[in-house]
Amino acid sequence: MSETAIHVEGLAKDYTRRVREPGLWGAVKGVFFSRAQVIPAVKNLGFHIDRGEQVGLIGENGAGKSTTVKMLCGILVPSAGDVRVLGHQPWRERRQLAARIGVVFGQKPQLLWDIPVRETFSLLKEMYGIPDAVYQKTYPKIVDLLDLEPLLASPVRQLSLGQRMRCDLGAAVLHAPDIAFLDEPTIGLDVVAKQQARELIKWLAREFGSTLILTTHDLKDITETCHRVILLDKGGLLFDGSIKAFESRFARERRVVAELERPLSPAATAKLKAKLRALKLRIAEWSGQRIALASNHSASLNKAAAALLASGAVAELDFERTEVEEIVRRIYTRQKPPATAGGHGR
Amino acid sequence: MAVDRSRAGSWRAYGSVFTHSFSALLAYSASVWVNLLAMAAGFAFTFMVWHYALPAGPAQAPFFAYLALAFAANFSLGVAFERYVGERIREGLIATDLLKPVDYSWFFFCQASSDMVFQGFFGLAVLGVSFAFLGPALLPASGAALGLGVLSFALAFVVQFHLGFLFMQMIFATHSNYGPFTLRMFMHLTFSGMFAPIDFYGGWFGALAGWLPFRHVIYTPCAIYLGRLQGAQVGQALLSQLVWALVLMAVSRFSFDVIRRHLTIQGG
Repeated sequence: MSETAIHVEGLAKDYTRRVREPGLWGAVKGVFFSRAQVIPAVKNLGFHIDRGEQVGLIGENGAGKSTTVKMLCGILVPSAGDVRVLGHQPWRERRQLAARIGVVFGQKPQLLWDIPVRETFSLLKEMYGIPDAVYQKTYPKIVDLLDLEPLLASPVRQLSLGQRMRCDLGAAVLHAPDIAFLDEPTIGLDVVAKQQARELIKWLAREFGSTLILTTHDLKDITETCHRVILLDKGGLLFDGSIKAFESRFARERRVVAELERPLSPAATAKLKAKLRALKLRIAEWSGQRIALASNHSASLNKAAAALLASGAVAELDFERTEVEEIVRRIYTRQKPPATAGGHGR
Repeated sequence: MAVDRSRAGSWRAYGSVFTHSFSALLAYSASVWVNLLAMAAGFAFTFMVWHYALPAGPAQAPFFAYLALAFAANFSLGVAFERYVGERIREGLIATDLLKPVDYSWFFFCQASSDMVFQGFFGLAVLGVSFAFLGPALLPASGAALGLGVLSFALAFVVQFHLGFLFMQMIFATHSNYGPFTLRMFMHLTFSGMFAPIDFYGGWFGALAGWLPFRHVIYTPCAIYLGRLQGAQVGQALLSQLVWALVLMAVSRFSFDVIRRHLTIQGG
């Protein structure tokens, strides 16, 4: 039986916000009177994560991801519900838990602002009581994977956002944590640095069997490093399962994409559209030399491909699955049911 | 690879916080010089005010000796860390502080200690310059006064830190360090004995100043060192200082534990 890393049951967090009227007069009145507004950030959340799992926590802005992570780390106290992280109740046993977890908050640097990065690392070594044997293994590897060598002698305040993020990520996993909570760890990173960060995450899981909770808006981070997705929506759980299950639940749709040698004549376009109308497809794209059609039914897509080829203008034809990023975009924007080819897809 | 978590947050860790915080203070050399200039100006101004306000006579030298010592003590026991922590609470950066496997209060105690040692060098400079003008009036009343004065100064730091830690917690409710810090400064400037010995205060105001813990930050160590407190008064003052240090430590730790549960950090 696998060991439990995180168990969450009925978790909720409400924030109270003071609401003031707008404008200068509102600000003056607000000094004396303001109305309290309770905002439910997380609602009745429940999930279970085993040791060694790599889980992506996604959701649109304000979905409750960061609040959930902060409760799991012991920074915030929940309004209701129960949380166990590595057997600890986080907000009661903050210090014991802190020694076993590593956390990155992409927007809140934890490095010491005024001293060189190398010094912060040595401070963290003492703070976490990292044995020399472990430090000698993690430190050079982290420096190598994140290409930190040129940054080690610089005070943190002199680093760019991306450089600081790389250092922050390295600092968070220096003690080989049992669980790494990475909240937007690739924010501000260029494509090369993003890949380095993903390699580091994979190394951590491989080398130390660390459990990973990754919150990000870059879905590639998740598809490359996680096998499971938890999707939050307005503070509640919308989906919890493998990436494969996520795709099959939200992305049953596939596409046939045709690149044309030349644009179709109006007559050929009308003829092709008439054929497609009967197939109840969604027109995802219909531009000069590119046509993309989407459907949940393979048979319809096969017939559409045949119709496209019959037009005689197709240079290249391809079948595509919907990318996870596209699925998430549709969930966030609550896209209406697909229009069919008979209607007006675009 | 097994990692030994039992060493996390050990005394070595706190020592490391102290040394790294001290290094951070040295990061801005220009600021160090501005700090020194501001201190010299403030010191000269305070002396001039009292020079004109106080009638010339034999009481002047002991009074100025107290003032110089009080100024040096105040400089060493500054309240810089509260502003720093206040900002961190306001900006939500406290989240990253709470992620460290150390005791929050001890963590900032070590940082404040490094502030004290750093500022202490300037305090010693104040005493050096003052000695050139005041001479033997600035020497301790006796060997015992020197030893007990140093002990009292150490206790003064503990009192000062925990007073600051308590005031800092108000920021959890106010979400800005503006109000709490002003209140703190008012209490400190009025009741610590920074501008005049507490034994100068009379009536109900003197009684109030004599009861509040603020006097233990400046007045008590300076008065013991210079012999303004004698015999049993010294023992009573040290005992009172110790009791306040322990009470403030217990109250500030307990209240932090309670108030932390109401912490709000919104946004990623």
